[in-house]
Amino acid sequence: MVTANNAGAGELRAAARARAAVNAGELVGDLFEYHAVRLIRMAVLLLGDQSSAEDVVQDAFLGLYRGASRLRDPANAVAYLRTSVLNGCRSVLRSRKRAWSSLIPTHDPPVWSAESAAMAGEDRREVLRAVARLPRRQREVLVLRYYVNLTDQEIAADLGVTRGTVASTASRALAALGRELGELS
Amino acid sequence: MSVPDEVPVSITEQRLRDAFAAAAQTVSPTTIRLPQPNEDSRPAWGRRRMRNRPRSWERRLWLPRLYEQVLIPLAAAAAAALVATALNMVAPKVLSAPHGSHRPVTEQVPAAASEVQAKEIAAGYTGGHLPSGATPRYFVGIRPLPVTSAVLATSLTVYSTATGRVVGSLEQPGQGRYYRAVAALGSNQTFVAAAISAQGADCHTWFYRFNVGRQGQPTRAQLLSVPEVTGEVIDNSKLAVSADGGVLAYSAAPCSKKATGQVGVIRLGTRKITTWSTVRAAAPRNLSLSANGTLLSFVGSASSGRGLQAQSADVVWTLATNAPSGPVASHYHRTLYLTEGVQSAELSPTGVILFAMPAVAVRPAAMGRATVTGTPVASVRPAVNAYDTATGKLIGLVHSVPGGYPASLSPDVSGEYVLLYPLRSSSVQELNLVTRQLRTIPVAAADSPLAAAW
Repeated sequence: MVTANNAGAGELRAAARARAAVNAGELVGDLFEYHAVRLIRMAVLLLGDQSSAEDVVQDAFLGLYRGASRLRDPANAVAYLRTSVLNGCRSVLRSRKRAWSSLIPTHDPPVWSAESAAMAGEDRREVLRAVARLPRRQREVLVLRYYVNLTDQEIAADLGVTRGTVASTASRALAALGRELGELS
Repeated sequence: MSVPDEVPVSITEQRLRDAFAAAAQTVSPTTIRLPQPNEDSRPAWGRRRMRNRPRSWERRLWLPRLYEQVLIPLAAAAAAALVATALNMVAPKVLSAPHGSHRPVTEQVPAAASEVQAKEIAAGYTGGHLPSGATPRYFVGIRPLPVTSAVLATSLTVYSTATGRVVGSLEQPGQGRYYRAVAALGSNQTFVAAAISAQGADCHTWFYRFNVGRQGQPTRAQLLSVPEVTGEVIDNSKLAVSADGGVLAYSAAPCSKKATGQVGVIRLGTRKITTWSTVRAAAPRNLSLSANGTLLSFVGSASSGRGLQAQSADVVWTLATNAPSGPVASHYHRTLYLTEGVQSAELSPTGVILFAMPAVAVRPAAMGRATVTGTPVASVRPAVNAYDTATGKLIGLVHSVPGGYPASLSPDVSGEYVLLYPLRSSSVQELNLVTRQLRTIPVAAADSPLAAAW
């Protein structure tokens, strides 16, 4: 009797795990369908090339799937993915800074480079080149604020900083960009 | 000292937004190199992509500097020589072989990308707009103002989506006109409003454009320079703008019983206007455009039977906006017919999916036919359903609307969020079509709008 009960409980647990796995798979699958493109676009703005951006985003989704059971609120999944992509982008950028990586081309030319014909308009290229020269944190804040259209509060949550830090970082970034582009903001 | 985050939009910010949007548009669902569909049974996000180049972590091999600088160039040269030799030996044979005798070449089939694109399209992501990933911060509602000296008046009010509080309002357009409809114009910060004469002296509709700033403060409305529209756009469901901001559609009611209603489309880039006349004086409602403005849907009545047996139920019609002017009945197609009628409907940005709410109807047993539409019934909850625009078949339930009240729908430009403004209650709700989460926006009863858009 005890054995049967235990077996029943085990089956129930296994069924619950299977259900959870299916749900997690469905959740991540749905999120992938609806958010992958926009996350790749965000990553492209930070990294410059689509291949690396796709890698980062795919890794973020895999990470979400693996940790789906720990995700308390599925509504936070998109924010989680965004943060994962930001972390992934930082990791890629760090790896590019290594001395040996300059000898082996590990990524495509950025979309704003002269080698890439993906984006039209020298003016836009100039702006993005100027953004690419900004410190990493400033770039992230600009992309999250002016591309993803997040509020400063949301950016602060994504980056793990205070709202004031976001505001001052954005302000400094805009000032630097204005100087770089020869504009009075 | 903290720096305020709300600063006037500078040239730098404008250039930044433009450059980000342009760079983002280099990525479209079709250019994403996703796995082959039959590569394995794992979902797309879990598969290793088959690329010419290895993944970044696979490239991240530790190699001593000497190897990199000496052996790699040597190996590359040797490989190049080997390939050249192989080509010299093999290519002539392959090229001289008769057709069909060589092995078929397996090409990169873009099926996976197409599939994703189709799904993206269905969900409303067109790639042409700034994807926000977040609920629009503000929505604009139309509030009735106290009637003074028999002059009708409304207020265009900006609400915070998060708190439901009023954060700004727009002045009346002047010249004895008042606003009757509002719609987002290509972004969640730009809107177009339709105004008509308050005294009914002039049977025309004028369109105004205004922006909503980061703090929710609307700018002064500017009269849109478009051809004069005859007839009156009398409520919010009779105005729509394509998500790309290029096409405005309206449904104008005539001011005399002899005239017919008019459905019109104005291409804002060229100011070209195309109009279609309706059969009756009534103007179709719940206008909705696909993101690129090529497809227009609206809800209108369709009669069946004759005399006492005649029944009329609202159905959804679609119309290609490049159809020539003339009677609308010559060009439209019936897209969705429901026995209970259609309460409201909105196209997904690409027109693949139609989000529609069936009418809630009371069917007294003695009558055997629908008599009252829009009455809350405890057992029948209004629902937002998704239908296939091409076939009219039900795809699935998106969400049932709590409260039992029918509502109108207003999607945001991304197509991800829908604003529901019930016709008989003061609550306004936001529905996320992706997560299917419904949230009530806590708008105070005194501030509740007649209609809303974002």
